[in-house]
Amino acid sequence: MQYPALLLLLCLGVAPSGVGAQATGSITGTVTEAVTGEPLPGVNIVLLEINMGTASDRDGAYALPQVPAGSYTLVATFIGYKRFSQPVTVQAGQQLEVSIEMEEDLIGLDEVVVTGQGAAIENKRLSTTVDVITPKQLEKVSNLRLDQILQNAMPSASVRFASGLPGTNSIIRARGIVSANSNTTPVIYIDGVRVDNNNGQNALEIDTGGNESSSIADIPIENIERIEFIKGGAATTLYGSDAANGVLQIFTKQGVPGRASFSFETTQGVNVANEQFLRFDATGDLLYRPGHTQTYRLNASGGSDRFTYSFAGSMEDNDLYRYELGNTRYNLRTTLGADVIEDMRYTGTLGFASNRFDRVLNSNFGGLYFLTDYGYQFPTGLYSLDPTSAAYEAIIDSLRLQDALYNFTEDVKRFQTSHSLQYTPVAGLALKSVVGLDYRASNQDEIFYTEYLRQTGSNLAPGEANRGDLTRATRDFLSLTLEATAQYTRAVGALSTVTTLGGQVFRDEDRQSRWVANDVTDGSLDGDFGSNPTIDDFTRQVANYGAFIAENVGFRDRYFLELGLRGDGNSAFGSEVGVQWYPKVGVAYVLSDEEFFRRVVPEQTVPLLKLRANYGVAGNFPDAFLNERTLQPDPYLEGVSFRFGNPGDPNLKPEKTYTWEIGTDVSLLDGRINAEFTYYQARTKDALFSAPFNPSAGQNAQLRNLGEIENKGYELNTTFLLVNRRDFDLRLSGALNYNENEVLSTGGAPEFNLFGFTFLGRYVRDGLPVGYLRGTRVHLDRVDAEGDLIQGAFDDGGAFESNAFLGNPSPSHYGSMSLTATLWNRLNLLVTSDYQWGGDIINLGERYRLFNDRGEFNRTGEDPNIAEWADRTWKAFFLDGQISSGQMGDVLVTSSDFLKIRLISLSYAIPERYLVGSLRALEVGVSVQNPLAFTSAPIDPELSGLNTGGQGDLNVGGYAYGADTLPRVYTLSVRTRF
Amino acid sequence: MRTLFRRTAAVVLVGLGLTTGAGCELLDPSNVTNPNVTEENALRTPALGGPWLNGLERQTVLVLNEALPMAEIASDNYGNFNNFYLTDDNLDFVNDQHPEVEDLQFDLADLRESAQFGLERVRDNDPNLTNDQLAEFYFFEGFAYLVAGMYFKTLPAEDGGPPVTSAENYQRALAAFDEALAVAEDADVIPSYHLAKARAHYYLGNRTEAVAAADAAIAAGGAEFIRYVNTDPVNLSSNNEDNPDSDIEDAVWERTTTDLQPSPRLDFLDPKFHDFGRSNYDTPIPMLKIEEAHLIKAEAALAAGDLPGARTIMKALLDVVAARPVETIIDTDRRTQRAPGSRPNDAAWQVKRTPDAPAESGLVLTRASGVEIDIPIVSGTSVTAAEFDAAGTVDEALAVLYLLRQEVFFGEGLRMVDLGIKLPVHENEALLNDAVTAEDREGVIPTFLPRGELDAVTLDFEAQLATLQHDLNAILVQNKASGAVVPLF
Repeated sequence: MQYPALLLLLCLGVAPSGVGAQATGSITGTVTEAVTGEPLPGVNIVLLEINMGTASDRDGAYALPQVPAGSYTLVATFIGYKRFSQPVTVQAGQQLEVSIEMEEDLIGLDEVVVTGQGAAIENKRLSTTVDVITPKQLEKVSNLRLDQILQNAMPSASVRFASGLPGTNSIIRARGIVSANSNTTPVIYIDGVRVDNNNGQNALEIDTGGNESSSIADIPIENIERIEFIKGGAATTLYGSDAANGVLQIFTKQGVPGRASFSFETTQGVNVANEQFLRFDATGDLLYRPGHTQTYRLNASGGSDRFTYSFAGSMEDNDLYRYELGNTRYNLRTTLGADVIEDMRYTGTLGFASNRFDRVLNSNFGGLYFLTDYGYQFPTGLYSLDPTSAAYEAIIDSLRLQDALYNFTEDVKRFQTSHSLQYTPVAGLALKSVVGLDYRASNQDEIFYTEYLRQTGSNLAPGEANRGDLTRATRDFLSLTLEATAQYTRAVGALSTVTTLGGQVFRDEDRQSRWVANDVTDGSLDGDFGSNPTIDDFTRQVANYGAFIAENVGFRDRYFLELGLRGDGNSAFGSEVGVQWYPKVGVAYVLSDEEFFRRVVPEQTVPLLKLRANYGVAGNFPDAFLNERTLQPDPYLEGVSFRFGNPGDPNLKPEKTYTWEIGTDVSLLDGRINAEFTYYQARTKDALFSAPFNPSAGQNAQLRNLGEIENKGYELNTTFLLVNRRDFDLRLSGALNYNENEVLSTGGAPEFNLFGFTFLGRYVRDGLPVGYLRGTRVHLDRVDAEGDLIQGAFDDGGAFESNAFLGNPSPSHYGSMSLTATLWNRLNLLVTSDYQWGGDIINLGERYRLFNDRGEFNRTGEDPNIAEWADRTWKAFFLDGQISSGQMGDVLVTSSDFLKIRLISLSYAIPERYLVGSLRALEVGVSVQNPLAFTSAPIDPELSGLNTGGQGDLNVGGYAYGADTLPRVYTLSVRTRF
Repeated sequence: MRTLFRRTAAVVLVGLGLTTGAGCELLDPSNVTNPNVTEENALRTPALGGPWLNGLERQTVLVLNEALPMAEIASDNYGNFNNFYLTDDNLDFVNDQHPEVEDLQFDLADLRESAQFGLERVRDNDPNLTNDQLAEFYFFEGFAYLVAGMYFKTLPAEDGGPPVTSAENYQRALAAFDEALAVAEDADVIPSYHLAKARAHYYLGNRTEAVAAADAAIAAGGAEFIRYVNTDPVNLSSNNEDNPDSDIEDAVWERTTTDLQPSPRLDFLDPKFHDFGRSNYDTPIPMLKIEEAHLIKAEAALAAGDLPGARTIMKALLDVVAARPVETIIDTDRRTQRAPGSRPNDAAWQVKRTPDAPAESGLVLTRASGVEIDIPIVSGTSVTAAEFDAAGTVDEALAVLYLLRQEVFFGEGLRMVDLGIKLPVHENEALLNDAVTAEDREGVIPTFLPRGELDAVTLDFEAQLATLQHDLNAILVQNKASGAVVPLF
C-alpha cells in the first residue's frame, strides 16, 4: 500500500512552467579565496528571495543577468567554505558589482549537506555530524580508489586492506560492529543512487585463498566533487532498514559555467613490494619485482548559465609489484546539468568503469608466499643457501614457474547512471526526484593447464596433456533507485522550519553462476572442450520501499530541534512482519551565538561553540529469501535428491540499532584550533544471528532476530591551523576514535563461529566482543613433578583451558593524522597516516612455520623462529608434543597495533609567467604511497588471509597470513590545465 | 499562484494515472521471486518420494562422512598426521565441546527428521509412494537410531527431547527395522534390514535375537551380500561439509585436510578407499555386509562355549572374505605428507603386536613407484584358518575373532564402538535443551583402555621393525566381562 503513494511523490517535480517579464538589472563579480586571493570556480551564488542562482566560472567570475529590481539577500556557498551572505539592492538597468571573498570553514557549520537529511540542509541546523571530503582534499588523492580516499581523508572511519593485490576487499568500519550478520561497509550512493558496495566474497566465486574481489575497488569515481559520510544512528534514520553501518554519498562535478576548461594529467610510477614483514629473504626473491604504473586522465568542463557539463576519463596500466600480476583500468564519467525550464533543473550523470586484473594464489591455496615464508614446501636447506648460488636460483626459478603457469583474470565492467529533476515552484519549496541504477558485471576465469598440474605435483603420466581445469564465475548485479523528496523551508520571525517529505524505493538483483570443466584442452579458454562440467547458480533479489518525514525547527538561528520518522517495507521481511518504523529526535544549540556567552567569552577566544544531542534508530534488513521455508534439491548420483533447506522465519525483520549521542563542535583561538567531539552509545536489538538450533533438531541454522549488541565510544576530530598566512599555510589534523563492543545477549543461542578455524575462530558469545578470538589457553605453570604439562581440562586441574577468550580482533582505538603545508600558494605537501591500538590478530603464519619445524621434518633448517617466541618454554612443550597443534591458539594471538604513513605527496604549481599559449596551469607532483609502517608484531596487522563465509557477511579481520602487504608506490605526475 | 495550482493538478493527475492504471505494475520494483523451492511447492510435486529417498541416502553419506574419520582416529586403526585437524590425540573427540561431535549429532538428527518427514508429510502427499520406498524411509529412520546407539552414550531421540540411552536408541532402531521388513518387497534390500537388526541386537547383547537376525540375513542375502552407501564425487558444491563425496577416502587417500596413517599392523589394508586412478570415482563405502552376520554368529558360539562351532563359522567367514574384490595399485604415498618417510612404507618392515610378541612379516606393503600392491576394498584379513585351529581356549579364539573383526571392518568406523568408546551429548544441545544433564555431557572411555597410547608404536628404522605398545584385542578379551565391550559375553 505504501508504494502508490511513493510513485506519486516520484512524479512531483515533473511539471511545465512559464516565464514572466519585468524591469531588470544585473549582478556580476568574482569569487575569491579570502586568504590566498585565488579565484574560486564552481561557487553557488543565489538570490535567496527569488531563488535565482548561478555558479562562478573557471576564473571565479559570475553573472546574474535579468534580476528583477528589488532588494535581496545574495548568498554564496561552496563546500569547505563559510556561507557568504550580503544584502543587495538591484535597480532597473543597473549593473551591480559584488565581489565575494570566501572564508575557509574548518568546522563546516554553514555547509549545506544532503546525505541523511532527505534534502539539502545547513549543517548548523543538525544535531548529527556529517563528515565531508572537500574538493580540495579530493584533488590530492585523485589517483586512489574509493576506500583509499576514505582511508586518507575520512577522520572517523577505519579502512583496512586485506591484501595488496588489485581489486581486493577492505574492511571499512566507523562506529564498531553493530551487526554479527552483515558487513560493516556503509551503504554507498552516487548522486542519490545506491550502488553495489559488496566488499568481500561473492556467493559464487573462485577462491584463491582469502583474496576477495571488491565492488568498492571499481566504483567509477572519476570527476567527484565531494563525499559525505554519516555514521549511523539518528544521522541515518531516514535511510531506514539499510543504514545501520552508515551511508556514504559521492557527488559528481556538475561543471562550471563559462568557457571550456580542460585539464590533463599523467602519472608515471613504480610499485615496489614492501618486504618488511617477510620472514625469509627468499620469499621476496621469489615473488617480487618492481613494476611500472602509468595513468592518464583528462577532464573537461564548461557550459552556460543554463547548461553545464563535466567530463572525465582516465586509463591506467599497472604492472604492480609482483611477478605475474597486472591491472588495467578505464574510467569515464560525464555529468550534464540543464535548466529545463525556469525553476527546474535536470542533472544526469553517466559513469563507466572497466577493470581487469590478475590474481595469484594466496594463503594455503598453494600460494607461494605461504609455501616459502611459512617454510611449507621449500626443500630443506634452501634458507641457508647462498642467494647468489646457482642452486638457489634453480629452486627459485622452479617455484616461480608455478605462479607463471597459474592463470587467473578478473574482468569487471560497470555502468552507473543517475538522473535527477529539481523543481522550485516557489521560494522555499524544493521538489526533487532521482532515478538511477548501477550495473556491474564481473567475470573471473581461472585456468590450470596440464603443465601447472604437473609442476604442482599431480600424478600425470609423461606426455599426458589436455588435463587442465577451467573455472568461470560470473556475477551480474543491478541496483535500481527511485527517490522523491519535497522540502519546504519557512521563516516566521525568529522561527524557521524545514519540512521534508520523501519516499524511496530500491531494488537489488544479483545473479551469479560458476562452472568448472575438467580435462580442458591446453591453451583453450573454452569450457566446451572440457569434461565433467559442474554448475552452480545463485540469485538474490531484494526490494525495499520506504517513506519518511522530517522536521527541523530553528529558533533565533541558534536553537534547533530535529524530528524524523521513516517507515519501511522490504521483501526480505517475514510474512508476519509489517511496516518497520525508524524515529529520530535531536537538538542542536549554537551557544556561541548567545549574547550572554559573548559577554563572558570574546569571539576571538571561542569563535564557535555548538552543542548537540540526538537519538535515532537505523536498521539492517535481513538477507533475501531467508524468511521462507525451503527444501533443498541437490543433484545426486544420476538424479535429484531433496533435503531440508532453509527453515524459514515468518517473523524475520530488520535488526535495529538505537543510538543516542551527544557532542560538541568548537572552534578556539580565532579558529586556529577546531574540534568535533561526539560520544555515542548504540544498541542493536533484534540483532540478526545465524546461530545454530539445538543439534537434535537437525535443522540448518536460520537467520533469526536473536541478539543484542552494544557499541559505545567517542569520536574526536581536530584541526590545528598552525600557520595561516597568504604565503604559508601549515595545518595538522588528527582524529582519535574509541569503540567498545559487546554482545549483550545471544538470545539463548549457543555460541557460534562467524567464520574461521575451529581451533582458533571468531566467535559470538554474550559478554564478549563480536568475533572475539577463541581458542585454547595453555597454562604453563600447571606442570607435574617431572615438569610436564598436566594433561586434561583446566577445570580438572589440567593446563589446558579450552574455548578461552584470546583476543579481540577489533581495535579499541583508531584514527588518523595528517599534515598539510602550502608555501607561496604553490608548493603543497601532504602527509597522511593512520593508526590503531587495542586489538589483536592471529599470526597464523607462525603456526605453519612452527608446525613445519616440529619433530623430524624441520623444513626451515636452522629454526629461525625460536628467537621470536617470547616464551621458549612454550615452544619446548610444543616440540615435545605436550601441546598439540590444536592447542596453539594462545601464542598465535598477538597485538595488532600499528602506525602507518599512507601517503606523502609534494606538488608544485609552476608560476603563470612561465606558462605559454593557452596553458593556464602546470603542476608537477611526486608522491609515495605506504612508505612506512610501524607495527607491534612482526606481521602486517591490516591483512586478512581469511575473510567471511558468505556474501555480505561480517568481516572482523583477525587472520594475518599468506597475503602481500600493500606495496610502496612512487609516482611522478604532471597536471596541466587549459 | 494559478500556474502553480495548474501544475500541481497536472502532477496529481499524472501520479494518479500511474498508480491506479497499468503503469503502476510496470514501474513496481518491489516484486521478487525466490529461486529456491519452498516446502509448500515441493510437496505439491507429483512424486517427491523418490527424490526424498535419494536425499536420505545422501544424508547417510554425510553421517558416515562425520562418523568414519572420527571413529577411525579414535581407535587403534588410524592416527591423524595433519596439522589442519583440531587434534592429534585420538580420544579428544570424547568431549562435549568438540565440533565433530556436534556435527555428527546434527547429521544424525537431520537423517532421523528427514526420514520421519518422509514417513509423514511425503507419504501423505505422494500418492505414488511404493511400499519399498516406505520401507526405506523406515530403514533410514532406524539407521539414524542405530548409529546414535553405536557412538553416543545418550542422545536425544527427537528434537529437543531428553537424551535416551544407547540401548534405547537401539530399541528404536529395531522397531523401525521391523516396520521396514513388514512392508518391504525388494529382495535386494531385505538382507540389509536383517543385518541392521543383527547389529542392533548384537550391541544390545541379545545373543539369541542377534543370531536369528544374522541367520535371516545369510538366508536372504547369501554369501556375498553387501549394501553400500552411495557416495557421489561428482555433484559437489562449494560447501565441503555438505558434499556427498567420501570423506574417509579423502582422509586415507587424498589426505588434503586429514592425513590418516594406519597402524603398521594394519598397513596391508590401507587405503581401502581410493580413486584407483579413475577420475571422479570414490570407492563405495560398505554400509552393511554379510561378514557381520558371520562375526556375530561366531562370537555367539564362543559365548556359548562352542569352540568348534565358532571355528566352523570363522572359516566360512574367511571364504567370504577371500571372495571379496581387491584392487591393484601403485601407491607412492610418502607416509606421511608432512614428513615423507617417517612411517613404515616397505615390505621389509616387520611388526610386533606387543613388545613381547614375535615379529610378523607381510603386514607392511611397499609403497613406491613401480611396485604393484593388492588392496582389499570390501574386506581383507591377515588371519588364517590355522590361527583358529591353534586357538585352544575360548579366550584365545576370541582374540583371533576380534582381530578378524578389526581387519574386516577396517575403515568402516566400527572399531571405536567395539572398544566401548562413546561420545557425549554436545554442549550446544545442553544449552538449548533443559533435559540434558551433566552426566549426558560425559562420554565413555573404558578405564582399561591405555588412554593416549591406542596407536602407540615404536619405529626402529634401522631394523625396520614396528613394535606396538598394546594389543587391544587382547585387552578386550581380558575385559570381556566388563559389560563395556564384547557384547555377547
